Amino acid sequence: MPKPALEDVLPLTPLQEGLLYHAVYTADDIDVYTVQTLFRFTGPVDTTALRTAACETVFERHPNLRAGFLHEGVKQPVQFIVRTAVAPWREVDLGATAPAEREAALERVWQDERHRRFNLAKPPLFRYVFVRLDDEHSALLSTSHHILADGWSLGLFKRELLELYRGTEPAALPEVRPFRDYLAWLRDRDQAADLAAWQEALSGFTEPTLVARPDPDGRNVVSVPLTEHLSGAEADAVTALTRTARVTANTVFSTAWAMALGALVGRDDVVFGSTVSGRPPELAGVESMIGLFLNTLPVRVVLRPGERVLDLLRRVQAEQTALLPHHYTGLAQIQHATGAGQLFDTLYVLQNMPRRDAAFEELVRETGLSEISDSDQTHYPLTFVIRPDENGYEIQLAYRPDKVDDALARRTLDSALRAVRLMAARPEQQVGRLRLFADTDLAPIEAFNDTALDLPATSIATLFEEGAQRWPERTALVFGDIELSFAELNARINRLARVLIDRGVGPETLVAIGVPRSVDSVVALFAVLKAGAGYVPLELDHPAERLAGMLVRSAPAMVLVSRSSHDRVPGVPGLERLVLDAPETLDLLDVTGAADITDAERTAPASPDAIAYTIYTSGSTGEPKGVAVPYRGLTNMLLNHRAAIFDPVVADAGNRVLRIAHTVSFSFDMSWEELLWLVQGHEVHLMDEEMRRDSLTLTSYCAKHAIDVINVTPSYCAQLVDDGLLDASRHRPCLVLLGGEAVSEAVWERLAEAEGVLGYNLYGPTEYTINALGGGTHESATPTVGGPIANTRALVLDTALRPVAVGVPGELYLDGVGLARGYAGRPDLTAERFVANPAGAAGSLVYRTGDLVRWRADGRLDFLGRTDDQVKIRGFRIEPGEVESELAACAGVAQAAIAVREDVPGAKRLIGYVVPARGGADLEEVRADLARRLPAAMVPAALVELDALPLTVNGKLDQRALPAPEPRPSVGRPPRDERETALCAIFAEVLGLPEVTVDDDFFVLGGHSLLAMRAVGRIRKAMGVRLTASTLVLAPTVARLAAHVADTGAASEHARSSLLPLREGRRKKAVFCFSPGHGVSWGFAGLAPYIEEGRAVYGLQPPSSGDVSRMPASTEEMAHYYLERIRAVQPEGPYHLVGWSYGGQVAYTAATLLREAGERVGLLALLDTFPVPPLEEMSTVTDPVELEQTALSDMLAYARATVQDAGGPPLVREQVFPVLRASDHPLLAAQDDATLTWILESWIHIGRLMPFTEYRPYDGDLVVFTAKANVSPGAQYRDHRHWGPKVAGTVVNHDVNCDHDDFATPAVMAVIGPVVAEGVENAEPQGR
Amino acid sequence: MSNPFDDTEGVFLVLVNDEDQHSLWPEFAEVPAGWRIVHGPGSREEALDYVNANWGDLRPRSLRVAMGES
Repeated sequence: MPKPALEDVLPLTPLQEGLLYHAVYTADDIDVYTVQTLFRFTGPVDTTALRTAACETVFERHPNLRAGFLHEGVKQPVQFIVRTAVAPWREVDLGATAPAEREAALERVWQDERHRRFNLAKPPLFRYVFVRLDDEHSALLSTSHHILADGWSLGLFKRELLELYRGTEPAALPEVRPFRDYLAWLRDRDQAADLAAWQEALSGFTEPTLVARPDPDGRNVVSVPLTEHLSGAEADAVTALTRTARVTANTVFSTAWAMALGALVGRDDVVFGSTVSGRPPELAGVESMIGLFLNTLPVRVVLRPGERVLDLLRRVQAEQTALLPHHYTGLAQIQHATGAGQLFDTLYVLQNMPRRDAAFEELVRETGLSEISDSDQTHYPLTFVIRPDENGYEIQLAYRPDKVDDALARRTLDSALRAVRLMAARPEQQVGRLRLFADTDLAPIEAFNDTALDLPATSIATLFEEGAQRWPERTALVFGDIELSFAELNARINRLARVLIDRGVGPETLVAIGVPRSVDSVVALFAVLKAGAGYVPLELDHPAERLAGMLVRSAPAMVLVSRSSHDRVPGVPGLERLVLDAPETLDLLDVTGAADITDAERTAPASPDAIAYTIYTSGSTGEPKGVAVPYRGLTNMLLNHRAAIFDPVVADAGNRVLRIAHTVSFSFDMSWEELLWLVQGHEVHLMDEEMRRDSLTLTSYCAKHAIDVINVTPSYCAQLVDDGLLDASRHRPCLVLLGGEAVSEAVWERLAEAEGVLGYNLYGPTEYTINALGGGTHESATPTVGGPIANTRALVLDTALRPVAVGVPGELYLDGVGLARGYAGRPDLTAERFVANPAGAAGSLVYRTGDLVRWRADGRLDFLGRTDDQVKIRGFRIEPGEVESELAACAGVAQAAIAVREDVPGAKRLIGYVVPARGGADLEEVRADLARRLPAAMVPAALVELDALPLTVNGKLDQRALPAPEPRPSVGRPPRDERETALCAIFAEVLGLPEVTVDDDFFVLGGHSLLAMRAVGRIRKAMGVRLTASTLVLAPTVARLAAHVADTGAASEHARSSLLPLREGRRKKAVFCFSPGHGVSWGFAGLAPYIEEGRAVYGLQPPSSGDVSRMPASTEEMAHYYLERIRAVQPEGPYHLVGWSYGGQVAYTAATLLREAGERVGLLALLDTFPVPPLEEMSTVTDPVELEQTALSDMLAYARATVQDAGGPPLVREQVFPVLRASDHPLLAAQDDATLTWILESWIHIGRLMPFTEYRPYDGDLVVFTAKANVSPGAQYRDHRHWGPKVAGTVVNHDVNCDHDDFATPAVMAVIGPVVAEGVENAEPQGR
Repeated sequence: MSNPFDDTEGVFLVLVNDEDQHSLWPEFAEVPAGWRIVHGPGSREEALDYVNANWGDLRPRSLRVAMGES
């Protein structure tokens, strides 16, 4: 077919670009922008006339209907106008079809046409089907692409078509103004002014308004319409509202849509798309032009709860009117200019068609037209369409069933209608008082909150006492070697309580407890409660200044300390201090009665409303706030837990007493979880300060003592799981309680997958006694904060304090018996946070949590984030405002800001920004100053100096413009030996950094206690050194830590073990590294950072010295020896094997043995290993004495020392070893005798085995790294091609510019690491 | 999502219940049952000043009574 002659090439309008883009990128079977019109005729039709009019004449008149569209091979997409175009015409005769089937057949034609896509590059984008139904009835189906014409134009088009069919001469029709006039007008606009107006309109808009479920396959699905009508009185009410407010109906309906949308997404600042006519009034005759003028633009509506409906309508109209001159800008340009990306996925349409006037009615009569129906569609998940008609308004919500649930669409349409009706009924009403949800929408939530449970007035201390009487002999508390029965513990508590009461302690007085974790901390806590008083826990790690502030503010009657904590608790004038383990106190306790306390003894009767504890948390105003919590909630917790947790878990465990590990600091209310088990009669093991913070010690304690229940933060849980808490090979707890921060999906899944383990998340701010919500892994596949606990109601409210429906995000407010009294001594903070209950019992209060949540249909809540900037770092609640005001108060600081960054996933860090005062600020000094005043978790991980704080246009701090702290230019030294290399690799891995020098401070690089624990765990596993996190605090650099590692005898023994875990990982198959002749495989630690996360790296080493019986007698036996160890950790292939030097011989042999056993081998990589030459070609030494002499002199050569340096020849170990130790050789320096002996013996032994290595054929591929800088003789043997005859697969060689002995250096690892990593990935089928 | 209680530009009331507990309250929202207005409408700062000046004892009235105080 010849190409049609071109008449014109034109640019596109903004919406044409959008539609072209849409057509190109959604190549489904259906293009939703296919527009169809059906004309039904009664009576005879002159098909020839109709065909000429429809297929030819209209196209002659309107050049732009002959347009095709191109985007490929052109700089900008263009529309080209062909000189002539005739639209395809097809006729279908349904005369032979049974009459009852004809409508269905017509519908099929309609659908078939709908599903035939237009190729936009092939004009005309119009086609017709004429359908003859019977002698009397027929129909013309017109199908076109929306890119040619908008709805208004189609109205004109229909009229013109009918005119032409009637026989009106084209010349008699109104003259056509060409579409290109409009395009020229468009081109001349001041685009910068347009974009500036849109930037202004969208300024400060932070979150797009998206309603659809994420839709990975992006297929187009036809929308389903829901239709309602507003007529009669209701339509009149809308008209009345437009008059009162002096706004258009369009403003009323679009505002109603904004409200419905706000109620759907839970926000009061929404954006939706709106179609505008796009016909500039200054273009004469524009209203009669046919083309795509229409544009889709963002409409932003900010809903202010305090604004009257009238004022809102007027404001919306004014804002939209101001944008009228800017209606011609493309959406893509607006999104680009505002940097917002996708702004909305819903569309509002006010359909305004040419009126069917008298002339049109006449046309209809004359042509025999009986009906016109249109179908058009959008790709938007929700399209809200208003069609004014003679009776009022048709209101339609079309929804994409693949993206929006039916019920949700129905509810959203209802909300929009409610908004219209409520606005019309009460235009003076404040916007925040309109109820957009029906009672039926909220009814399920009432059921979720039906949590009433009888609550006795008994205090938690009395409940403990009652238990002690019921099971006096049971073990209550275990602390190290100490075990106390309930009777013993109760007696100790009673004695101390009496001593306290004697000193005036009673209801509504406070006692501060500054006792290190010990039996005494539990005794002290319960003694205070038995006296009916409240305790104030002191975190002894906190700076003295902060503790002093807490003591002054809380004004306790006395403070309890121990001899060891005496100095850490600052003195406050007038504050009485009791040293619990001082001889005089012990004497006093001895002579004090141990019977239970009665109300008569107390200074006042115990009351459930009295304060049980006051816990200090970070306060945004700059000082910590004391949350004062009454007794009532503690009793409620016990009752709730009995039903929700204790009874089912104990029953599952076989109705026995459980063992609970108490790991949580007493200064968190979360520490009550374990104490509630104690009250319930179970055995609580109290972990000391060191043990609770050290994950490996803790997990081994749990295994050794068969701990059943552990309560930790989710981030610590992840660490414990890594350290084997849930390992199937040993005892695992049956219940893991989580609390303090949001639970990650990874942790939730690990707990859910573990057989016989229940994970249970407990949510609750300190302000609502311990927990408000709870839910377990058995109830939910994804992390959930659960549902409300006993006697608790969870309110999810919007910013106007209205309850929102299920699925809508809102802020969580808590109502119930767990409410704290408030913030001690701060009525103002209390009154703004504990507020009148807008949806509960008369006169009751709610606590507003600041947590953003959403109800799920199953009555549980999902945690979505914060509404303010409070952060949880490792369970520690931090108000950046408090850190900021402390930072601003430091010497030399003029202005300060705090940001929370998560540059390494899962590791949130506080970053401090400082604008120095004149004279400058010493950041090190500032940091030290902060550390004196703030707890470690609140001290910023990094401080950044700025010239000025970045501000937004509104003059507020622009958080997003705060720079990331630059990685400190590393001035430190590189690692000097294998040990330092391994340590640097562990630091880098744990900190998520590419590289760490031996002088970098772990904590300065962003390390914190949890990461320190992780690092210590890794060091212990890789090197066998038992360090604690506190060692790392004392020696935070690799250089200093290496000394600790070397000092430990166990390190040396572990370093010689046969299977050395160099890196942890369980998800994928491990990489096994075979040591070279000297037997040491630590060098492979440098390989680990290059291997993908989740894959373990193991080093393999020969048996330890002295164990002659286990010394393999051949390379093959050596391979068997290693395979035994490999299979113990990984019973199935594929196996990835890397061998260096002699290790390569063993790895090759192991690979052949694995293949012979039917196993799969993944990567087999050899580092400078080649087949040993035939025996006759080399001199072989077998005499042991000679072998040792050669080995010793080789070792000296390695260490760059001579035989003479060691007093030889002959050489003796006792003289050689000190020389080696003093050298700077990475493997030999600083080793103890045991390790050097082992290296020597391995060396000798391997020297004996190697020449006799035999090669079996290998049927896989082989990767060889050849050290090109190898200077030793025998180059002819060091050629990877010698492997060829032995290997059935391919042999790939990589030359590396290094010496044979250099493979363990960081520089060489950096070269071969990525190659090995890639080889491993490629060698392993996906999806394993 | 901003919270109406944190709106520094907002208009506020101070409410009190039968336990003498005080609550900041945004003027736009309906006053819940069981609470009466004791201050406002006014600025947030004024409302909080009022609270500090008039709510010295955070204990609920019923507890004060039970403890033998008035």
